[in-house]
Amino acid sequence: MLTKRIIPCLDVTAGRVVKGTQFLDLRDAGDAVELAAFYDAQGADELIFLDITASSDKRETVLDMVTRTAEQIFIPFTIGGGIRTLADMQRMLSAGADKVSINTAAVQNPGLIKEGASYFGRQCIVVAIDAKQRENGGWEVYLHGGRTPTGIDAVEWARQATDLGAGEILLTSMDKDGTRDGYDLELTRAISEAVSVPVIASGGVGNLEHLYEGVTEGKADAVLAASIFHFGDYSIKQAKEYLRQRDVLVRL
Amino acid sequence: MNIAVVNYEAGNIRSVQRALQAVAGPQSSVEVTSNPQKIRDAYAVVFPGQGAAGQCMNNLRQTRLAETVRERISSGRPFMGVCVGLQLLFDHLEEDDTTGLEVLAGEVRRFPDRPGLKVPQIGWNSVQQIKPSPLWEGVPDNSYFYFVHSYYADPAPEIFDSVVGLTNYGFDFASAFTKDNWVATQFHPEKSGKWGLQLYANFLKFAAGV
Repeated sequence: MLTKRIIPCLDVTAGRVVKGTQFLDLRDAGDAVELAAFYDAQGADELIFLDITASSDKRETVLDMVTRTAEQIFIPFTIGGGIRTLADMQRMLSAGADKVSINTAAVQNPGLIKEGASYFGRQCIVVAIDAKQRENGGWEVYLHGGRTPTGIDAVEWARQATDLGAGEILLTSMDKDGTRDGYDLELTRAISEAVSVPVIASGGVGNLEHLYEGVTEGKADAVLAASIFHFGDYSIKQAKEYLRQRDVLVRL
Repeated sequence: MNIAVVNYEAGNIRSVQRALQAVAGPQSSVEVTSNPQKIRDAYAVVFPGQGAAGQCMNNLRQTRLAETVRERISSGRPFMGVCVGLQLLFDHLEEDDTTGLEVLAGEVRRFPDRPGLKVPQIGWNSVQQIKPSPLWEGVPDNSYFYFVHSYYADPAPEIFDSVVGLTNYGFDFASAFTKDNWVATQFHPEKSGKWGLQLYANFLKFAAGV
């Protein structure tokens, strides 16, 4: 049977890992490729790198990081952040990334999802959605790390992105991100039930119970976490043992 | 040792090359190539693949690599198909209503839509070793491997004897094959961590005995 995946997320800038609280206050957590190899050895099912460097002159450092990671680790990894065109996707995939994640560019140009899927196969195309709760119910898609509202309904957008060719949805709750209060389970479940492709839950993990809730109540196919792993609160193995004890199928 | 990875513009071939290089060692050459002569002459051939079957088959026909791959298998020399590289060996694929390489009898079908089972299947699933195979040497039964696919091979009864591994995704499907000089897997050994690398090493060892 297919297992639930545990995915450490590495926010990177110039090849170094950082993790922001609500995307603002950044802390350094080490060299990206070293950390990737460490998580692979611990039993991570997959890795996601989110490149949060804004400046384009640093782009080459990201490409170098992707190449070095691909030489050293033999589990799937995704790279996201700053990918706007087919050519950007091509560069990352050729360097050795298995998937690319697109967020802002997908909202601004939904055709990019379709082009990417037909060119590289939909299994390569992850659409990342940052969503915030609306006052009168539902969730809205935000861009630029949660600063720019779009007026777009998150569930509707997830459905549309999947129809266009997204192979997976990486869903982040902007309300929960950095809080360590747990995932937005209602949001996660709503999206997971709305689309036919796997959903990766993100934003808000503070303990192992939260991972459990994400795959059970939230119906997520995979759970993403950063700081609980980066700062050694828990190891990947501990997380998996915890989930297995609670009858969630994991790769151990 | 000279290993050829067949290049026909079908997805993340570099990762296959890197994994083979890691297990074959620095003295071996692992070349991504579309040169028919090199594919004919290689010590071992790996035929990977990812993406849309119709497009993959078009590329194979246009470059005449379809013929090269068929010849390599019938020559009796070591050959391994991976993911779409397994699927294309079959007679017919539902995806884009594609005629395959017609090396293996059977049909490649889409996973049916069922509640709770998403398509594509993405992630780590276990492989039950239903028959002995050189692929399984040192690999525990029911080990996990990484899968990414919407379609699965449904072999005809006459080739059931080549099925050596089964995986369950709502039902059991054939996820690993071994017969004579060739092996094939639906999962991606190059993305399956330790056991995936072990499986590639096993293939190279098997190749030495063919």
